[in-house]
Amino acid sequence: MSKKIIFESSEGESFEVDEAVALECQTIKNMIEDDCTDGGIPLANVNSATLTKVIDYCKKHVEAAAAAEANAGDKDIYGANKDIELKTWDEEFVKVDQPLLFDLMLAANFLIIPGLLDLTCKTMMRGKTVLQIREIFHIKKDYTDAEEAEVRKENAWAFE
Amino acid sequence: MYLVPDLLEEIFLGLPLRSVVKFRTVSKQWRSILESLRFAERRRMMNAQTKTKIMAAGDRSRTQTCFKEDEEVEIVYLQCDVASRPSLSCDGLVCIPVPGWVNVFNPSTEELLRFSSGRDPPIPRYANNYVDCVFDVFPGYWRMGFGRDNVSGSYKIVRMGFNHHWEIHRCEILDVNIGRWQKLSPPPYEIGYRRKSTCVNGSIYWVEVLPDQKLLALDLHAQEWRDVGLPLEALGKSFQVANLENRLALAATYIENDHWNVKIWSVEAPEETWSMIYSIRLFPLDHPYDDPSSPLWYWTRPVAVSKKGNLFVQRQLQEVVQMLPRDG
Repeated sequence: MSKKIIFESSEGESFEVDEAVALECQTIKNMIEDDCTDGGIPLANVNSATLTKVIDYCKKHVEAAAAAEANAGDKDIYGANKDIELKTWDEEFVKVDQPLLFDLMLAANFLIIPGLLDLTCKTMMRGKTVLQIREIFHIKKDYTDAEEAEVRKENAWAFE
Repeated sequence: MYLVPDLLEEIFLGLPLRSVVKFRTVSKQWRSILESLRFAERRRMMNAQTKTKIMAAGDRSRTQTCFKEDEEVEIVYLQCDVASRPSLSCDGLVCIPVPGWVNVFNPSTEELLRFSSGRDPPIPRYANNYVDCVFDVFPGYWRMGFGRDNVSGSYKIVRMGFNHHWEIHRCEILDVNIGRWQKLSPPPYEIGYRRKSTCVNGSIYWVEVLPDQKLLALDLHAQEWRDVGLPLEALGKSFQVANLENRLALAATYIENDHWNVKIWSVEAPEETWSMIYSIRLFPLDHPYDDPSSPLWYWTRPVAVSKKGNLFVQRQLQEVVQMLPRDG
């Protein structure tokens, strides 16, 4: 039987996961290596809803990695089909509302899950216009109109 | 939703260049992070490890690409008249010589440095436009090199100028941090002007096919020339050098079984032996580029291998095509 790790969300709820799943988080990996995970790991800045999603993500990626290893022999010449399945899963995974996506990103950053951080960042920012970005992140425009036009002109190709 | 600058920087690292450039417009804080040297350097290092970057030089409206921008390929469009000129690149920096100037451009920061190249030598009598147009000939018929001195960390430009007998009569090196051409002892033998060079691990490499097949290297720090042995099988074929995943690669194009083929070798370290890494059949002989009378004129050059193992190859006439994963 594999070793279990217990996470505790900001609401005090406990989540038991396989060590292999917890190892997806670099932060936790370091803690496990330093042998300081007994009695559970309190995650004061990750709420239950977010933690549930994070664990789902790690589980899926551990399973996918194991499956990939098992099938390593019969890879097609493009070597990419199983990637496509995981990619589709990832795309579905981040179809959540903005606040949860944001919390997921913060959790991925805190727990150091590079794949999830990349996925959430891209989902949040990719293809967004400058106006949408300001709205999502509640950023007040601090350029004057003239300044903004100037910066935009300097970087014109990105707006084509 | 407030994000501390450190986290913002982490997030920005995952963005494609187009977004990095576009989001400078969001706010002054975002701009200061996105334009910082630290961010540019981190992004460069990260991309060098994880991502294939292909720079398509060309005016966006006039350039047709045969692949889409995706996880694997990031396309940067350069504007203005320099875009259609032959260029050299090293670590994501691009060196574009134009008449009278050599530009060194960093597309991640959009920083541009220009160095005067002085008056170009007159066009040699033996210049052959008909052949030259299928090669990368730099303004003034200089044979150019661009690379990083691994000891000092400086980027350096090297140029060799020819007289009317195609002998090298000027050889100079410019340290980008200093900005002045300095004399360099000439290479041990003649080398033509038609093929691009590449930089791998602190040395620049130039190849020559006619009249002699040679591979010449210059250690950018010691400023010493050396001759590098070629794979035996490459002899008699038309080849080009490239930096493929930080290794020196040599691609030889040849006709066999009524097809154009390309074989690519690489070396792990400068003194090691070549090992063949790809052998690819390109297309049947009745392709419009064929000119069997001069098989040495056709060439291909590997550009990059993506994470998924796709090989990208540049062919004559400026196309970049995606090839199947290794079959050799």
